[in-house]
Amino acid sequence: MITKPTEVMNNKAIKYGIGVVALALVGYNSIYIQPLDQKLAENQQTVFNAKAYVDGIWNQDLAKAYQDCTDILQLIDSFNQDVNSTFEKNSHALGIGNIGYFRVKGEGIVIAVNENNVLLQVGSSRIEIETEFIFGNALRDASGLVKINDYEDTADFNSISEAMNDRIRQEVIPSFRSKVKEGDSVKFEGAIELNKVHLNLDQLEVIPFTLQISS
Amino acid sequence: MTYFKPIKILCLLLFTAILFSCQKQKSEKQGQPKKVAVIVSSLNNPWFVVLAETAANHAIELGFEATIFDSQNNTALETDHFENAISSGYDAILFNPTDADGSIANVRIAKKAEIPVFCMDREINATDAATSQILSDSYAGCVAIGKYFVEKLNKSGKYVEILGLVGDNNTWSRSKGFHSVVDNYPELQMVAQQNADFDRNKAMEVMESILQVHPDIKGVFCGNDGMAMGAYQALVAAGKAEQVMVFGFDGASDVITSIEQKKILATGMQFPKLIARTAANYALEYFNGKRDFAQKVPVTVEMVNQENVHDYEAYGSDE
Repeated sequence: MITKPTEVMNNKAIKYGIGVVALALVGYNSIYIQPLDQKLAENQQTVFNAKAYVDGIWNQDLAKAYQDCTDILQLIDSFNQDVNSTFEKNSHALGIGNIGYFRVKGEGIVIAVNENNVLLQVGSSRIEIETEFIFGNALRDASGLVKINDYEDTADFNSISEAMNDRIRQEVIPSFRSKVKEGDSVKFEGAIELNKVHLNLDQLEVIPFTLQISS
Repeated sequence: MTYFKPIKILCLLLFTAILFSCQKQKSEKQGQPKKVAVIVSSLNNPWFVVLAETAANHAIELGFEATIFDSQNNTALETDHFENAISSGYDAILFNPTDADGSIANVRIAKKAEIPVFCMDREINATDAATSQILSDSYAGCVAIGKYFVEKLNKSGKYVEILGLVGDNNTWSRSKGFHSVVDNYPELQMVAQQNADFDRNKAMEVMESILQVHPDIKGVFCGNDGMAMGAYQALVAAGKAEQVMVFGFDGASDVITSIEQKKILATGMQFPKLIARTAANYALEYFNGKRDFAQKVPVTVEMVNQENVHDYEAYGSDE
């Protein structure tokens, strides 16, 4: 049987057509372009409900932990005697490094109400109560209650700190800031972060867990 | 059917030869130093060079043989390194993963071959594959940088974020830590967020193009120091180095110098030498019989800024 040139051309065109469609299909399914903000959003999706977890431990475990604090003046005194043993006895730390977190309590007289903090005179020391920058892991880690290896996803573990800080910023700080004034007496429980190698005891910064004003 | 006999005999001989070879290799290994493979994501970044060299040198100090493998940010090449390490009889792998998800399979290959893997600095998204993961607490470090950033920009103004590798968990831990602070200030407006793969040249190009669209930015937060240096170069070229504050992360040598010279505002000091030495020590403990390692061991990150830079040395010095 003789094939006409036009039929050959048609067959070739069909073959090339199928080839191009197949290539297009393979190409389309091989490459997936995703906007960066979508990828970021995916990374921020967490099934773990940190707020519910923090609400669940707030009044019991966390409150109990922060009722069991070291007096801040005793802690300073202890540092002045032996830094390493004070870190060993009193600090909580997640892993390896120079930074430790301490639960502290105290009472002092307000000497300044600043934009980002309230300055207290506690004995002979000046202590800064943070009212603006309530961030980071000080409250979570000083409590000693939450362990990183209990969380498969480190982002879940970090979200616990965010939930604790949010609650302090929303429930503790606004009422305190609206009432506090110079000369008030303030009782506090909270957490401090200190660096063993670069230890600075001047004006310690306390992230508050509870604040009480008595005029 | 008699022609099967030679094949059977050949198979038997081959099997016996393999058995003898394994036995010989095992007996040869007894009395020889343990071999440790140091597989790192990239040697194109001085931070990872310090990590890899410290791990290898400390492994040698502990009496092991050590070899460094460079994955060149390529998981396929990383797979080749793992396969080589396994077939060459390495006894442990000190590993800096290329990709939090893409590197899991490689760690599992080693686990199947009963070779312990100790991850250094970067995390993999599995808690049942590596023997232990010694990780920089990038999130906490970037919370500290975020606070400093807010203070320095006085809580308002336009800024840019330059991300690292999209597939690396550290990229997102750093970004999330930073945003956990900065996003609380609505007058701080992020006008661009782009990745530059932890690469200095890419960051310079990214910064150059961003500056054309947003010439009025006040700050740049970069996911590592290499990118901070690249962004700073672009700002110098555009005559905006005085106007824009640059923040990095790593504690690399050139950035510590730049902070001293008031060019860069701050960085998060990681401790690659501490991480590498811990990983090598864990390998020794493993060889001595320890098996109950914590899956994740965070290593603290400290913020270095223009006020405290004189207290620090690049890469955390010998700490």
